[in-house]
Amino acid sequence: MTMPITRQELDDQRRGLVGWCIGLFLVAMLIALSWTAIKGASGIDKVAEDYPDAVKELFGLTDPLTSPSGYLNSQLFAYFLPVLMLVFAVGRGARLVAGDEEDGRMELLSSLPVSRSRLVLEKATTIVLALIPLVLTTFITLAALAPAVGLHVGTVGLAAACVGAGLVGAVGGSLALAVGAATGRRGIAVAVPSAYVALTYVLQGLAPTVHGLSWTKLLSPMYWSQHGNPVANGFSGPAVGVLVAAGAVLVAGAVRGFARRDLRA
Amino acid sequence: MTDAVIRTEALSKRYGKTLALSGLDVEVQRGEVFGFLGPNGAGKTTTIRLLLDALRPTSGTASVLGLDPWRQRVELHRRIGFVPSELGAWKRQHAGAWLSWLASVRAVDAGERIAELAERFKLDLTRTIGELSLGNRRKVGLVQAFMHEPELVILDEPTNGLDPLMQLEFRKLLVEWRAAGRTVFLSSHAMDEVQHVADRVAIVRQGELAAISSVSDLLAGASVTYRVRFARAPEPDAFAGVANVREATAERDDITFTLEGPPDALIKALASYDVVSLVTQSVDLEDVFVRYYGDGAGSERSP
Repeated sequence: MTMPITRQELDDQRRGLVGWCIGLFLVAMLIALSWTAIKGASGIDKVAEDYPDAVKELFGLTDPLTSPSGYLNSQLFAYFLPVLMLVFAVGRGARLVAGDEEDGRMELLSSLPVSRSRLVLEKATTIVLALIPLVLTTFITLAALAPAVGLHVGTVGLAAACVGAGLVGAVGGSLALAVGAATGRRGIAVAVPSAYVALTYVLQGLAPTVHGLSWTKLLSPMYWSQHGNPVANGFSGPAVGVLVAAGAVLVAGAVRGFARRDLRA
Repeated sequence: MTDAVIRTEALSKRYGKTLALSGLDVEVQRGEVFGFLGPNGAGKTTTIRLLLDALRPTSGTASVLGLDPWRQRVELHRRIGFVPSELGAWKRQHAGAWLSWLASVRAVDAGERIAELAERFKLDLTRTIGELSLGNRRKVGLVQAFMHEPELVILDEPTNGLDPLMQLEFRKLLVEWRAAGRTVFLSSHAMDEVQHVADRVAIVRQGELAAISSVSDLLAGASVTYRVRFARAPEPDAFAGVANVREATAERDDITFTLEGPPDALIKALASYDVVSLVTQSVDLEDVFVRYYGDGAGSERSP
């Protein structure tokens, strides 16, 4: 099946996509190269040792900072990379339907012989397709530089952690798409996923310390991207499953939200 | 009527407290150019959006090409062309590539038609849409609506910003379209955009149908003005009793007569004077239009 709307959307995003890949290449390179300064400095671990567990978990410090996995989790995978993926995907997701309406493109788009559900599904596909080069760039950069700087981590672990961050982006982007598809408003479509991720990230931190709240960490996409410490242990089936399922549910919600609504003039 | 291309029955749309469209009953026949007139905010775009399934009616029904705009949306859209009042922000796309893309979404091979229409409307396909003037963006909108040779074209204020020569070309296109047995639904707030091409017009205001009539009937009901120059003008009162003369105003050697109905009696009355010249002001639907909107009394409906 050809997907002309997906194709056009990706075409439109190409320039931005190249920019993001360059940015992520630089981030990954910087973080790999900085390892040379950190790896011998065991004193740093003492600083983090006294942090409460909640803080350690939030900042990816469950492993010592001077261990390769602890270093990468704290500097990149626990929040920095997922947040970058989120910023990218939420912006895209909000633009996909709500942006089309606000910029007057939907008027013509909706006159084409394309069902509303196919329109949303083709647009949703672009979120995933656009995230792939971002994930690949980060992964390849890290995997290529790690041996050179003595960052001893497995390739599978790196892949799992990069994919995890990408999936967080996909979930946020799908939520933005769903909110945008249901409301036609880009502002809300950006605000809702941003607020959700920020709130659940805080809950994830508080969860272990507040009695009866520990389940709330399960709501946080970031929790799942770090679930099972992917850098050290590789892919976690449940984590990937939860994030993929969440994305699928949100896309289904987007289709539903768009199906019967009046489009904005 | 059996061959209605568009049929609405008591079609209504409410936004919160605002009734944007109230009980619209319209039938557009195959092979006609149907003008849909009204000032901005009268409900024209709302009607079009209901026909295209961008909006769902609050009550009433619409069918287009015998199809339900919602349930048979995809098939319906394959068979219609649509010119939106604004093309929307497609900035970076080149006009030609963008049109080809739309053709690919429609799964039609329209390359030749696009080139043909672009040449006809003098549209440069190599420019990006962002670079095009308002008039040229209009042309892109027209090309995409006609490129797949749809049975029905729905146009929302299509000639805003088109230069007069292109407006003429546009009218020719509509006439050809009708000659080929296709149908045109032409929405506009500008009389002159519609009166030369439309067979029938509906006038809407404040969400309601104010009148629906053939253009010739509308014109027959319109008042006509004759400006007569005399060698030596008589008093305008001299024409007071002449049939169909509604008004006569003098200005130096000229008298301007406003007539409703045939000018026969006036011409016979003029025969006894020394007439230097006689000019008929072209009849204008604008007058009819003003009558419907001017005084708020124009709520008469034809069946």
